[in-house]
Amino acid sequence: MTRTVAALLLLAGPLAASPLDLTSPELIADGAEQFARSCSVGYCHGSEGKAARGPALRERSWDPRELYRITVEGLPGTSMPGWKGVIPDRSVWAVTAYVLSLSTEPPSGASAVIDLGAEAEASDRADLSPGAALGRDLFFDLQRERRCGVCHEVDGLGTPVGPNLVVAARSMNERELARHIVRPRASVAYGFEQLELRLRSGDRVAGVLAEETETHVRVFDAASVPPPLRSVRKRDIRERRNRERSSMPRGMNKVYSSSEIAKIVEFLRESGR
Amino acid sequence: MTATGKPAPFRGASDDGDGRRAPCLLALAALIVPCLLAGAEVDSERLNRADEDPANWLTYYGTYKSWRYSPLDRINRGNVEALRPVWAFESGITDGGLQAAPLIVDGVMYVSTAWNHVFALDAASGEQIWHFEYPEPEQIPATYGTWNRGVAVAYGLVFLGTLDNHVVALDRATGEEVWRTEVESAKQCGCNITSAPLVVKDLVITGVTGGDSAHRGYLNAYDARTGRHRWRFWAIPGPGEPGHETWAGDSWKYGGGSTWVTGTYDPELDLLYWAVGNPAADFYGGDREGDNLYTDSIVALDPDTGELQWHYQQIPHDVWDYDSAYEIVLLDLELGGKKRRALLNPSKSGHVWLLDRADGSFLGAWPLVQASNWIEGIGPGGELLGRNEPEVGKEAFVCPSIGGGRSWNHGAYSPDTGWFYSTGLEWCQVLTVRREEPREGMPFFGGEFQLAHPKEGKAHSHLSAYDPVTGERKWQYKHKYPLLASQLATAGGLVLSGDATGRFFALDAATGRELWSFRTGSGHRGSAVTYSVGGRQFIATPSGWGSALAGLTTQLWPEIGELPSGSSIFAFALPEDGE
Repeated sequence: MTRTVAALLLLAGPLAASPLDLTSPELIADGAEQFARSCSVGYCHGSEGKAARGPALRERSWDPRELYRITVEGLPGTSMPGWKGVIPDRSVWAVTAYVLSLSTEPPSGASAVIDLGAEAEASDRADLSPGAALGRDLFFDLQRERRCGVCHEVDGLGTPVGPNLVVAARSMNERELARHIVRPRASVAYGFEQLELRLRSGDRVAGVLAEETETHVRVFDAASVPPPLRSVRKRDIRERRNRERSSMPRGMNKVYSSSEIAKIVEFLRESGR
Repeated sequence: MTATGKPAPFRGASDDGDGRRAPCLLALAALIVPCLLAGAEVDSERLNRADEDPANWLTYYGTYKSWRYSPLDRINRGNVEALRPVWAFESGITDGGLQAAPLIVDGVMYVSTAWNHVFALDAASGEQIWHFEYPEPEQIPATYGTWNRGVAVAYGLVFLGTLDNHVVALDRATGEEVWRTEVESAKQCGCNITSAPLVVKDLVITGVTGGDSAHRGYLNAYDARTGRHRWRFWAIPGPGEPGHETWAGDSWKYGGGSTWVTGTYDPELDLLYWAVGNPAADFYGGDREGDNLYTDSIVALDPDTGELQWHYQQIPHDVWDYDSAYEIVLLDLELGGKKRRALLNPSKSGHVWLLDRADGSFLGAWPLVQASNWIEGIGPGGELLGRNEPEVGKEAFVCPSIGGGRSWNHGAYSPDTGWFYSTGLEWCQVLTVRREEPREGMPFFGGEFQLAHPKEGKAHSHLSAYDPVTGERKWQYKHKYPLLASQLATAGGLVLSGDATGRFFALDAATGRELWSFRTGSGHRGSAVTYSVGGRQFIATPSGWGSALAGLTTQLWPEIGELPSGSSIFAFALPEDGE
């Protein structure tokens, strides 16, 4: 998520608390713009919901809450994604209002007013301090091939190869956290001891155990960033041992400056509160 | 149990066999070389020499030349009318149609379907050997659909790119997963992989979608045996790199430049070629002033390091979504009395570019379509003349449409006729451009469009034969709906393709006359191949309508919406003695 969206979420906060009139021309216009950017696009629902690869949305009849739910959750097994956390909740309602305005039975009267109460979601991200928000951007910065998010997940984003750093941040102070980032080999989180496999082929695979079945061991191979998830047949393993060391790559101080690492630490500390 | 929380569940393949090998008839003198090659595992040497191995279809385009041509001629213009189906395979996964090019290795067919299923089939009988099902991602980047266009095979492995932006290697004999590497979080980048990976030397190389998202495109190479990352080529140069100055402000971070169609490799020059897609926002260029390198360009890379060797940009500062992304066809031509190692690249703009593939110099360009008003022409040095750029907030009538003067489906080149066979799409759009702020990983089109008929008449398509140098048209086969399947050319004097209604047909490569056809039940959007098993030639075609463009076509032809989706392979052969 970019700062832009985070900013939108901030904006959405106070608005989300009040009831929404789905027939409000302002909301519908807002929804039309959001629809053009996110829904009609390219190959999906087509301009003004006239259909492209996705189904036509205009001139149909909808239950407002059902339409909202589909938009937020998506339709599993189809190309329809869930927009929860992607666009602000109020914007989803704006899109809903716009699609309803194209329908055969636009809502009217009381059915057109939605009390957001329960649906409105306070966003943790919107609560981040400016420093922590910057830290978040750095954590997930796609321009850096060795960013933190390649191996760590926070709040549903990133990939959970290594430990949950938000949990770790609860039991460490800023200095300790920063030291773990810069000097990862100094210690290892419980359950993340490096698994080293020596194979009959002569190859060596060392990294984080992901899964073990009766026949296979699946290991995130720490020899590369991103780490491949290797499925090794047990019968191909000659030797296997756990090592008291972390699989986290060294050199994160070359990826991030010390002030950037401080921001990342701020992000992790705030996320853990 | 999982130590890390939640890697996607491990699903192996249902193993019904161990990768059967077809018998190799050494008795037939003409097949000795292929048989010798066929005995070996697919490796770099065998891939380099794929054109000496006509029994097989070893790479996405057949060989690194990307001709989609086979020297097999048992089935030919004299007997094609006797061609009949010998088996059909139904995958059952119809959402997204079947867009792949099957691979054939020593009697086994490997084919990927939508939703990242891979099947190994006995290529002579259609019997299933194994089936791999990639775990269904929670969410996929919606813009780029559910389909997959093919796999690569080498080193005992089958390689697949996934809807959630992973590269996966499967054991070729059993279909079991061997490794899986995440290219980048699909949730974050709004990109994924729908194209077939390319194996070059010991690397598996894959491009990504994302050209219509706020994303910075790239190409990645992985060690084929281990999945370890080897190199990344950023399709948009970063700060301090040459070409970075062709992007205003921060626009480079969100500038598209996807690599969504498989590239190719020249073993003699040791150059990897890839075509880079459009810049984003697709239609609004005001925030990305400059040429926007290397979008709409052909790049030649050192395959071992990913370092750029040369580039040629076809469309500087594209504002029409005219990717250069399509196939790169390697042709050795005589031009002005001089032998040139050339490459030919059809673009979404409806033009075909011809470049010197050693140094990237411009050799020529010619149009595939008549419905074209985005430029007035291309000058002798490759410069675009009379650019017709849409204005913000005003409706603009633009040809070709976003669907392209041609879609990604590939043309074919026959060394027998010396002609290039390609479809062309005659259609336009009404485009409304609007400024848009980028949202990382989210759609970033900068406008909306509605398909429209050309002013000269009804939208339609054609399959034509062209002189690859001059673009002179030799014949044309017209169709009322968009032709969206690849072409296959053979030494039997045939060009094969299919249409939206499910008709698979064979044309005379010399005249364009239709010689044979068969209804497979669902429309054609993939790439047919030919191969032989035990000396018997087969022609196999995917059948399965349901792509993004297939959906889009309903804006002009509502009845296309009624055409059934599907996902099957039909194999054809001539009757054998006694049949």
